[in-house]
Amino acid sequence: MSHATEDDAPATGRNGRVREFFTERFGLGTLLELGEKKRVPIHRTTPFYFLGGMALFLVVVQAASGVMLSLYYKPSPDQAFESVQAIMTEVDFGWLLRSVHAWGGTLLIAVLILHLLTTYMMRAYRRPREFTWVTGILLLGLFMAFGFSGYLLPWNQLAFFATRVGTAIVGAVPLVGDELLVWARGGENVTGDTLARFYALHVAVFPLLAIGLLGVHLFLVQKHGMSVPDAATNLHGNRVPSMPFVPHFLLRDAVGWYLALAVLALLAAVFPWELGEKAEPFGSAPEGIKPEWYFLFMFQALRELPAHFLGMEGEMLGVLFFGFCGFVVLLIPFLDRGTRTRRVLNGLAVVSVVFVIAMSIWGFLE
Amino acid sequence: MTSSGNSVPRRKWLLRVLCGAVGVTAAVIAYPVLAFLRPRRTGGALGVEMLAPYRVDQLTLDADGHWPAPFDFGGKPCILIKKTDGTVKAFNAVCTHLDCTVEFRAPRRDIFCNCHNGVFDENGRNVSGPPPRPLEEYKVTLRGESGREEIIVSRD
Repeated sequence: MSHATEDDAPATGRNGRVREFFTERFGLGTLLELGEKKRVPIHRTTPFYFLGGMALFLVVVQAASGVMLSLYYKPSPDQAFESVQAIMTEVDFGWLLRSVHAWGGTLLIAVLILHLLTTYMMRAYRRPREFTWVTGILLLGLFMAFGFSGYLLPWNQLAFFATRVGTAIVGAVPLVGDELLVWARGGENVTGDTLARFYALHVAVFPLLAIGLLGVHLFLVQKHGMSVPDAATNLHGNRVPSMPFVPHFLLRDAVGWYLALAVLALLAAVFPWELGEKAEPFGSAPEGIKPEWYFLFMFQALRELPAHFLGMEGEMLGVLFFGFCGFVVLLIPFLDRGTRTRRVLNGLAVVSVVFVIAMSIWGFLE
Repeated sequence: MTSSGNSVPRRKWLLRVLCGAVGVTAAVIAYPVLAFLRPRRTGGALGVEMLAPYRVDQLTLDADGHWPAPFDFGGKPCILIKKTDGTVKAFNAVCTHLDCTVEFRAPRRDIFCNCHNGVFDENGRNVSGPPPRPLEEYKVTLRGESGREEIIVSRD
């Protein structure tokens, strides 16, 4: 089909011939057609569509800055801290690159959480987009795992003990906990083997998983098009106004990227990420051991749980509870079955958000 | 050569053998891969007994107000404390809550975990906060000149 149209309209000029050469060999016609066909609905909450694009932009920033840091970073307990120190003090703009990578991770999680909440509010997970939601939740989990594994790499006190605690929480899983803990740490204690494991996960395993999951997520977004919220459908029926993706929405998207870049640059330059002190595996844990902010609510909840509760150790109960919550979030598209269940879900969502915010603030202030 | 009547079962049989062979290949590859990923055992049997890096008279706050730091005892941090009556005790310094390393707060006469505010008394008993069990206690043997004895820590 595309072949016929190319024959019908012979290319003129050198640019035209070059374009024709590649179009014929790569089937670019299909891509162009996709780009031209894609439209974005216009309604009150259209700006929420920017969040996915901002997240994607930050993922690209993380990949690029991560590869750059890996040129100087050395994943061993003897050299990790010193190599990060060297990145920050000896390598030109090393302090900036590390700060961008650390802040970029934090910003990415923040944008993903907003993306999740707005997607939930617009109920964009409705049939047939259930698996766009499921892959999105898995991606959020994956990027949190990116954050957790990356946190250890500078091998400082904070990272060392946060990793001890974080992996010990894994150990509280019933039945298989002890075995999981040994697998996660690469031994019974947090050692150089743990660092090597986390490094391999952070730079090889997780990126491959991310590419796969992100591919499915983006393919599904293309396949099903943008979801239209009920409110807009009720207002306009089947004739919800829309704009073409290329170039109208893409240019607006670019504003979102610039916004993310501006916030990232501001944070990275004005609040350079600190390195702290080198880990002392046999020393006492210093005061103020805290995980990244997006784990803080769990950390605080585990801190406040009593040692024993309902015949179980407190942390085991906590792990089961948070695991169950995660599972419910993953299955939201399949749980939303009519007005009544939706009311229950909305109630739970409000309670969860309030709980997470309150626990995070409490954990932050302690 | 073959009648169409038994060619289908034969094809099925071949398919099954093929799947079986691929399955065996996958298992043969998976076993060493999983065994490789399984963490190696290190240092478990070591450290049954050792001489602590501090003498009894060194168990006191330093100029900065720090108690002697825990040391490596068979891969786990070991903390030495001196009770009010002068008895020396040795504990596995790994908090029984979530694996942080505890510290001795000499002025308060308790053992404290900074991560989740767990408190143990001088005998290692969990008295407040989230820790579910007492600290593991090691055996302490003193030898040498009175007042400046060397400390030997051991476990069964």
